[in-house]
Amino acid sequence: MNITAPCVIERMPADEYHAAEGLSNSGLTIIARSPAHYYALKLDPNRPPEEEKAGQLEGTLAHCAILEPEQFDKRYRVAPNMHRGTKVWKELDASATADGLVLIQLSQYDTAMRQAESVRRIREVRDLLDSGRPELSAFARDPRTGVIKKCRPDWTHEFDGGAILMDVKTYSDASPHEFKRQIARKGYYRQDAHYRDTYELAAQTTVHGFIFLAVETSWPYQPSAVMLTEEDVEIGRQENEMLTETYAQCMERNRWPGYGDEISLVTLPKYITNRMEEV
Amino acid sequence: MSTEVIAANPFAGFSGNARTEGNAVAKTDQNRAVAEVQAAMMIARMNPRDQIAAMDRILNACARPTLADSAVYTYSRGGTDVSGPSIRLAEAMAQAWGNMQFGIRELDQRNGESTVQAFAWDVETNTRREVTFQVQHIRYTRSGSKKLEDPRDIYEMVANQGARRLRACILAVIPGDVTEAAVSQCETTMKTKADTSPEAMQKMLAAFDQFGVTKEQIEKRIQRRLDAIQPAQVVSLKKIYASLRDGMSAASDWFDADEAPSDHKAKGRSTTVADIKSRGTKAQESAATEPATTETGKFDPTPEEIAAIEARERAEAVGLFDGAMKEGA
Repeated sequence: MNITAPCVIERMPADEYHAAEGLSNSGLTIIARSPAHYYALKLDPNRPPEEEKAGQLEGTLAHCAILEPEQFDKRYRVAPNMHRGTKVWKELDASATADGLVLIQLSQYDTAMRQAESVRRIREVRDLLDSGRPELSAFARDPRTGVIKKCRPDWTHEFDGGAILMDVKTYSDASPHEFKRQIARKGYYRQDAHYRDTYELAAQTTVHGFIFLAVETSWPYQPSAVMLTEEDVEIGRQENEMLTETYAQCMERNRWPGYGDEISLVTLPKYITNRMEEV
Repeated sequence: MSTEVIAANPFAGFSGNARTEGNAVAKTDQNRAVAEVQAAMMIARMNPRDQIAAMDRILNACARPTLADSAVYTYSRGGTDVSGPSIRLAEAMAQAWGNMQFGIRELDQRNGESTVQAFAWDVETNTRREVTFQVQHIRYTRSGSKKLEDPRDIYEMVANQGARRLRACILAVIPGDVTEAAVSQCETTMKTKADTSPEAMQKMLAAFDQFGVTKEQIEKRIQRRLDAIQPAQVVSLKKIYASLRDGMSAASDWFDADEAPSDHKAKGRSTTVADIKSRGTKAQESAATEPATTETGKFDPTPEEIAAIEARERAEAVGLFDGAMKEGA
């Protein structure tokens, strides 16, 4: 599919979005690990097909139940809880696949529905979810490097004067205190800045907020809505600029360095040396 | 002759006597201290300070926002705001002024109190100011007094108490006009970098939040909404923050407690969709009505406003030095 940035595309199938040209947030995260990883996972013609990670299906189910509940039956077929190795499951699975559906277990369905119910208990979130569009695909050219960047906010709430973006995250502990650690660990602060900036350029609007809608993966499926401060978004923005620059240079020279070919001298983590000082 | 004098001492040659050995060590230390002092004074006289260069060094140091930010403290006493140069500024000035010796020494520690001396000495002019004072090993809190047992607590108590006296000593030795110029430069540095952007205000709110001070309390104090804050008010809030951080005052000295801080702390900071939207709408409105500020979104004072701010700060500065000097005397 030929895409002319800047643009925002509604109802673009997920696989088309992933295949389309453009540096995404997950691409930036891989570059942060090393450009060699980016080449190996995104560009290498001999790369193995991407494997579904543990919990990925559950995350997708939560997204669908929360953001597009009317689509749930059109995408998934619910089967009783049973072992996936059984003959019955395999038959049901084959039949569902033939109908273009994904077979899920009853417990997975229950979890997704309860998560959807639970996030709607947050009044602010309910208001946002009552008006907006899911999974818009946005493409824009980075003004500094000319690199095409893309993002796909889970939920876009538009109002007179701008937009608020929302991203659903499933995690074992959704308390703001714990979830902020997850934001740091997973680099979600970069995602925040990347989505705000890319969407603003693509839709020619102002993004006033990027809300993480965190919901727990087990009973009682407690939810929380979390937003980073402007200063923290700025940290993400600065990291993104650096990573985009790296990506542009790698693309230009077609060189994708890994961890370096020298012998790295390392020092022990501070908590080990601190422990020695205490002794 | 000298041989005769030594021979006349009946205790000469008793090197095994502990008392004599102790005295000898003390004497050696004393001699070394005297020699060090003499050397310092001699070196100072051989390398007298170039006052212009020293002043430049001080002003340059005060142009650093990191120093300027913590250079002036304010606290409330008897209903009026008293402010003055902080210990950080005093130390930075002493270092840059040159040929100065200053510090705190604990002379004695017994019966639950320390005898401490703070001193500042201009070795070039031999002007010396020292204060000897007692520090009781007791911490007074709202829930009563607590005796300090941990050597680290005692050390911190002595260092804290000493720092204030040291500041007074340094400021007594360094000419007053030099201090005044340094503070004035710090005010200018702070003012010129007084960032009134929404991001900076968020940062400030976060800083005050740790003392349980809310946005509403700050707005009440500055008598306007936070998004309309003036640079001079940012400077004034920075002074208050420095004072809170250094433990010179409590949040209740500055801000009306119209809501329970503990509730606020428990709840943490939060926002609403309406807030997020209104910030956006407000930014748009101001962009439409004030084209001069749209590019940076920052307050751009007119020359008249700058003159008014400067006049007010000069007036404040005179009062605060008086207070600081009185405290030091």
